[in-house]
Amino acid sequence: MLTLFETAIEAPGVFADTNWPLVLTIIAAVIAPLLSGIGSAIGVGRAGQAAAGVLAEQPERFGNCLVLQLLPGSQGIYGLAISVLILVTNGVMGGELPDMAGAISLVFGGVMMGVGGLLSAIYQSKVAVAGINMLAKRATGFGNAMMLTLMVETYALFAFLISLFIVIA
Amino acid sequence: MIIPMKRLTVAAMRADEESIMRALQDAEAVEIIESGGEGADDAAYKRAEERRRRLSEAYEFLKPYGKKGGSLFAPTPYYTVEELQAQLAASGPLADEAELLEAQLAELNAEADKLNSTLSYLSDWVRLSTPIEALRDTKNVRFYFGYMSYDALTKLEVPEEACVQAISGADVCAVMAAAHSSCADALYARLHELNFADYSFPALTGTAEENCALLRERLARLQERTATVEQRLLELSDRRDALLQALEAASIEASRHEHALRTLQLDSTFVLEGWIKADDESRVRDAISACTDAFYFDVRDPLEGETPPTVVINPPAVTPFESVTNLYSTPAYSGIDPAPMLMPFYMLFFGMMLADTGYGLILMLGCLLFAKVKRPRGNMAQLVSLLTWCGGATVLCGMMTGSFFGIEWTDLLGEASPFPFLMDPMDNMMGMMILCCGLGILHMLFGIGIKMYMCFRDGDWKEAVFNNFSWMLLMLGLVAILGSMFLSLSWLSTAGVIFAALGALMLLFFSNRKTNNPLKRMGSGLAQLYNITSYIGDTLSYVRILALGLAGGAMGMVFNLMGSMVFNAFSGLGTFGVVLGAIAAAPLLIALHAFSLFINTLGAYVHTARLQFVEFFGKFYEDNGRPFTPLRYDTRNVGIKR
Repeated sequence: MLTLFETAIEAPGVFADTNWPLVLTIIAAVIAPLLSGIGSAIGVGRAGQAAAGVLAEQPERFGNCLVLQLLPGSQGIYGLAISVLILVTNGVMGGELPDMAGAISLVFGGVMMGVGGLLSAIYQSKVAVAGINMLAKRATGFGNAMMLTLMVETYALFAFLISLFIVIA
Repeated sequence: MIIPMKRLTVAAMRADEESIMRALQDAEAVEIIESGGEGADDAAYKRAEERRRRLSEAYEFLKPYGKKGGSLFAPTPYYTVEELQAQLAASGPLADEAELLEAQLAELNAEADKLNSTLSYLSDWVRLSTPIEALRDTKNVRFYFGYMSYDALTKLEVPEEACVQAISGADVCAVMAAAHSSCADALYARLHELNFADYSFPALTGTAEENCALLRERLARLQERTATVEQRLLELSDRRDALLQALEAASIEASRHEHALRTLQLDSTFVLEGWIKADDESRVRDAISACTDAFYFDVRDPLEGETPPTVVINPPAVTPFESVTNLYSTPAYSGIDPAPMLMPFYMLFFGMMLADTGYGLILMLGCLLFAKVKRPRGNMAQLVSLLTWCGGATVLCGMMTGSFFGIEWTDLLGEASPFPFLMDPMDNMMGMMILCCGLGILHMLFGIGIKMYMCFRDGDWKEAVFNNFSWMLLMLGLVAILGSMFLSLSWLSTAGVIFAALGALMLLFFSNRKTNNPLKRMGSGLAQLYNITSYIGDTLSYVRILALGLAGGAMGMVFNLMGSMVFNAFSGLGTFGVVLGAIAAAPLLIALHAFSLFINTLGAYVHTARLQFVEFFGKFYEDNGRPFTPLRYDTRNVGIKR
């Protein structure tokens, strides 16, 4: 990858004047909220559909359903936080531009958060949907449904943490 | 702590049963268990349940009418049982009338629907000036009425002896066809090929137009009647509160009769068996003796094999944390109540996850205010008070390691700021991570310690030492070895190795004491030692404290950034721009921080609970308890004043 970019930088023509670290930083800042946002949108959307189905019969369960629907939404927020940190500390909205290696590591940090968020949000939403359906049958299952859904969140948090290490480093 | 229970047996005359049951319900102290009351007479219960159902339906029916009462923050109303029962006695006519009005309204609506549908079809034919009763086949001419699409109508070739006329409609036309009987069948067949749908006039006299007018008149009259009924409903809905109180009283009655079904009915006496708290004995005896002198009363300790329900009693400060335990499962009667043990860790971890003094203040003050205004009951009250405690912990943790509404302390108070006392996790992530894992290890060691206490209590010192204390040694040893690498202290490393080796050897040779074959022992000991992986996993799981704290901090930072962008957008306009910027930024900031507070509180609440359930409870907790459900005033929407 590095050699490709080096070639591109050394090559005469349009690429010669391109500020590659800046481009890569922007890519990193885009990819984290983009992928994890897609995952959260899918997750919250699916859980919301299931919740609407339960609410048609049992409108009093709204509060519980809302919390379960929200749980797969956190990945998008982690993505947003990573993105803004990249922008603020790496020369786009403040701080200094990284060198080439630093910019590439930023991209990996973004991908880490993005893919981790994308997949964990989708799988978390499956548990959330099952939990919402469980609520329709058993009034007292809210705590259990919430805990089961939460177990998936751990891996989004770990992705966020490692991504944060890379971005801050 | 889990308090001891006693088994109660009461026998008394059947004539006194009603008053005794009332006294027991008032005492709220006895869980009645099934004593073989097969085929009990459930007529009284069915009557009570029927009354409750009718009141509930009447209330649900009246609820949508009238002004919206009961905002989210309206305090829970409190009544005495006598007040509720007075409402129940007076509620009969109200419920009857509501039921009657409901039936009337349904009838009126059904009739209006019918008229509306007749009208909507008939109004297509108002251009026919012939009275409806005259639209009949004659000797030589047949008439067909119906609907077909305009396209199909243009495709129809009409024979000479027939006439087809569109009466009304644009895309779909109301069509009248008249044909001489010689070609009528052919025309009718052709019409059906073109998807002609027959329409037959209702049995009416007069022209379609006259009838439409009549129908409209009848509809108007129906509407007037509906309005009268709705007006009456509106009046009745003012008395919804009375109906709700009557409903609660009816629920109280129904629940008492339901419990009464569990007693054993003999010829002239009844036998009641149940569980009471050990220190409620004299209270229950007094309640019964206030009703009658003729009764048998016996209380004994639970026998081997009986499972009493679990009652947990704690000081008021600890009570809210029982809700965390109950979210997982009721503790077993023979187990231990973890609420006082998990309280300090729950508050600490919650505070470190939210880690913002500003948010903590809002959470704490908001919950205090809510409790003051709304006076919530039951689970809601526990949750509110839990969040109050955790909000306080968040204020402190925010000063230790966090921020203030997403602003770094040093930005807010300058470089000389005394906060954060401990460290800024953004600058010292590694240190914060070690702190989190260290607290996690402490948490788990505490869990093992509780398990050891439970083993000693049950007289099983071998289990305590070889299967639990050995893990403590092993973990402490490993921590010491790791610590010695950072601090380069050779004695620490030696001590660590000794501790870890001692713990590992104890596990290897003594964790399975069922056999004396050293090879078998080593085999199961090795399997035990393999659990070290789960301990490592558990320890790393505590890193989530750091991650959630950072995520919350980053979110607050992002929102402040957005607010300052809006504020600075007007900076070119001088003083006026500052005012304008403040006006634009303030509501945005409030909304964004409210969202952030909600999301992060939810996250901190559930993740802290997870650390308790998986990492902490896994070490010692015995679940599968049965909650204590005494015969009591089980009201849903009002509180009972005593």
